[in-house]
Amino acid sequence: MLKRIAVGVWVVVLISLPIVAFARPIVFAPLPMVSGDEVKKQFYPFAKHLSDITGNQVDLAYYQNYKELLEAFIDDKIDLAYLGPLPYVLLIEEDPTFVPLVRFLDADGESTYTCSLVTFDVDILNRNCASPTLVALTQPYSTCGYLLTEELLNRHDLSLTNIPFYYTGQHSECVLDVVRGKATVAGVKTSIAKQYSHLGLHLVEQSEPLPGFLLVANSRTFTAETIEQLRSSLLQLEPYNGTKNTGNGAAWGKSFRNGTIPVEASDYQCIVDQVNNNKIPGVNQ
Amino acid sequence: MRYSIKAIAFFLIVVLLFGGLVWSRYQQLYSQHLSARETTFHSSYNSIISSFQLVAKTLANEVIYQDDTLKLVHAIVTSEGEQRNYMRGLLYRKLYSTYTRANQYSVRQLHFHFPDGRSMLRFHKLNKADDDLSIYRPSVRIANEQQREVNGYESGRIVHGFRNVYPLYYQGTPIGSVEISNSFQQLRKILMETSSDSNYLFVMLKADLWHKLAAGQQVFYRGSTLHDDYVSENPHTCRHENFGEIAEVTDDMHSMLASLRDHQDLKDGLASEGDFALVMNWEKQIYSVLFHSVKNIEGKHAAYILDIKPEPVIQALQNDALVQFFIAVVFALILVVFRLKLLLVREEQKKTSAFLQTITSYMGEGLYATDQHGKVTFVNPEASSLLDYTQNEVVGRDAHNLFHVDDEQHQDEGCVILNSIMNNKTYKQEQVFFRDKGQQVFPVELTCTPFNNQGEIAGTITLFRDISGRRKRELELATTQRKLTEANLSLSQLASLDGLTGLSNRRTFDQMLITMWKGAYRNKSNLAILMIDIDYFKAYNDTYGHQQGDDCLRHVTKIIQESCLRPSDFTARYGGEEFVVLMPETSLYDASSVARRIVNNLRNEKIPHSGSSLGEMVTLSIGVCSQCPEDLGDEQSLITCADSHLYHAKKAGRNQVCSCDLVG
Repeated sequence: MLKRIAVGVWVVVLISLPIVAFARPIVFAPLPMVSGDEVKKQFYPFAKHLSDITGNQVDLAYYQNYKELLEAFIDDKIDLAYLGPLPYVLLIEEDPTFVPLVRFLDADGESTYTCSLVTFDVDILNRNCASPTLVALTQPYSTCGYLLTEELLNRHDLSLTNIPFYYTGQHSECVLDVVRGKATVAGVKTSIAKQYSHLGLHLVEQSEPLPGFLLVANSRTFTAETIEQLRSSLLQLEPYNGTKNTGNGAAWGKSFRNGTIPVEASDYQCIVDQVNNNKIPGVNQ
Repeated sequence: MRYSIKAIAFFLIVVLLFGGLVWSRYQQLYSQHLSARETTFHSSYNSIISSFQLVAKTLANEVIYQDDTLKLVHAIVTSEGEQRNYMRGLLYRKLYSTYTRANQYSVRQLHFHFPDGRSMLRFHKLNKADDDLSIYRPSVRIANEQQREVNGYESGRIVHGFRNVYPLYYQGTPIGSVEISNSFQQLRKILMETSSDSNYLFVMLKADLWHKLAAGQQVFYRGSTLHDDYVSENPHTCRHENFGEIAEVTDDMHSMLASLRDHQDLKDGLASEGDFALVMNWEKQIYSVLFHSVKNIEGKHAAYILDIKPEPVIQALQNDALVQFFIAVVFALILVVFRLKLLLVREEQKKTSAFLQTITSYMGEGLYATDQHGKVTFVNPEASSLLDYTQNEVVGRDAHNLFHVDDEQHQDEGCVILNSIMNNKTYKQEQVFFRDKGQQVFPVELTCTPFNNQGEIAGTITLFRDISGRRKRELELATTQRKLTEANLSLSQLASLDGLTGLSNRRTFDQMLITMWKGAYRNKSNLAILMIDIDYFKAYNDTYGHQQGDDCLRHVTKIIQESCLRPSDFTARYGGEEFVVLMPETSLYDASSVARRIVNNLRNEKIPHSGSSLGEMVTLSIGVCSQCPEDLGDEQSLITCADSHLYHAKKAGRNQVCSCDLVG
């Protein structure tokens, strides 16, 4: 009996060692472009969950934009980051040692999403009509931004190299700018564009399904055991069912509360290909 | 011990009295303050709600009720599918800038509705439309069914606030409605601008809200810490992503409100579903919490707005009340000390009064006191007895009028006793007269003394005794003394006079001789003496009897007295039928002249004396002598001298005067 207890204690100690050995607090970088209060509200509950998993303190690191975030990640100032597909691809292009942990599902339980071109005038992309005069984009590091919008415009023999564009910072603002008549075309996430379809919007072009947002770990600051422990724990998260406030519940940010699926770096190969084909001004150009 | 109990009871009464006054004053100021605070809140609240309605009405009139806008709405209502969506987009395009500007001020929602109560276009949440609102938004249903404007508070599923729903018409046809609303958060924001030290919370009646929520929306709310029937917004849910800020309840505030939960006043106030206010202590600070009942559009209680504010004023009022109470306690202590002293003094006065009462009751003299106007304030039993009045008959009456008897000499001057007393002088009189009830006047010996109060004459105290008995005894004594004097005088006269002739007797003569001798000695003057003898007087008695002899002696006495003209001459019966006359400052010659006048005057009387050999008439023989005394004690020499000359006169034949000088 005593022998069994001793073995059990030894196993627990072995499992706990990598976590215990993590001397400083874990630094977790949420999405940039969100205010400090919003970061706290949306990401703090998830960061608390990460702290529960690792047994270590988790601090939120706030960055103004993806560029600064990726630089800090590469400089090992960040241990974990919540990234969109394009920033992840840009990261591993720079440093392949970063490890994807899990992909997050959306509210519909989907692990992929598409990007679309939306217009208020259905014929705006028709060759026989006037060309779009202004394109609304979300942000440079958004997958549905310049990268996919350029590809979708190319299908109509149009290019952002020839059409003026601007960044609104949010998908919804891109959509509404089209309704308002400020922009003639917007490149946005399809799921968001559909929410505004009753305002007379038209989805004139749609991309192939793209892998969704993921959690990425810094393999230089985490041990493999810790990475595996985080991955296995996060994969066990149950989607929020809208009625219970347990685990990834109502208090969690909308990006985290819908559950996770396993992720591989190869899932994002299509993005890698897009990045290689299309240079984004100010990002990889 | 008795005084200790009295003092403690008095102290407690005074403390309770002052404590009650302080408490009453505090409650009055406290109520006034809370009332003013409630008035201020209601004024601000009503003003803000009115301005919300005014802005909404203005927006509706200036923008919504325009033909091009109504035409678009009509087009949305009357079209379907892509065309409807397109028109809806155009409506948004037309009004979004207006909404953006209005939203910067106070308008939270600009929401168009279909006539059937479905959502047409939410400017505050553009990604949602066509859902049925009539289930949980009675204001929309009423506006479309009754075609009237609806104003007031109404909860929703997500946003709760103050609704203004206007029915829309296009060319006389109802085309739905539009809502211009403000959330509680906007109200709160403006309230906080007017009163920055207040915090405002919004708790909703669960019964007004819960049935409206869709599945899963309950998580946006949590039970209020105040009462199970109320809920508040849950700051930990993600509503803020779509609807902006909510009023965060800090942990401190949460604890503070939780501490109110079991407060009976809170339970009563909530049960009343009306406005009320509570004051509480939290973390050593006083807060007031105003509960403003918010009625829904049906006029039913639906929520409370809590106005929570630190109350330095009430704190100051409490401190002031404590200070006032402390002062009251000190004042009560001072009063008790004075009261205790007063009781002790009164007790001492009672003892003294009893002692004086005993004295005055049993003293043998009458005593009465008057005030400064002479009104009797006190009489002792002896005075009552002497005056034959009861105390009640005397007290309050004017002493002078009642029983003083005026001095006849001072009747016009009023009461001499009172006048004297008013001059602050003690009045003593061995005898004045009082009049008793039966109008009997009796003499009294009286001493009246004024007494002062604070430097002013306050009255008099009069002691008197009836001296009728003493007076009677004094009169009797005087009579006796007078009689004694008269008797003594009579005896003295009897001892010094001769009983037959009325002249001084021999003993008196001897004393007078010494006196006159001494006088002559002092004056260096002559003292003359006549030694007179009736000739043959034994024969006269034998002839006429002793009775006739006594008459003869009295007759001769008369002649001698009439012959000695000077008052200073002294005549005495020397013995038997001999007389003697002493004449101060008289020479021998003058004395001889007087002697001859006596002899002649008797001779002229011709008193018969048949037994005399000298003409059958009574005659006299006189020896005269005058000496200037050289030796003070040699007065007998004058007698001897005169007696010798008398002898010579008799020897010479009687009926003659003989002086030594003439004989010699």
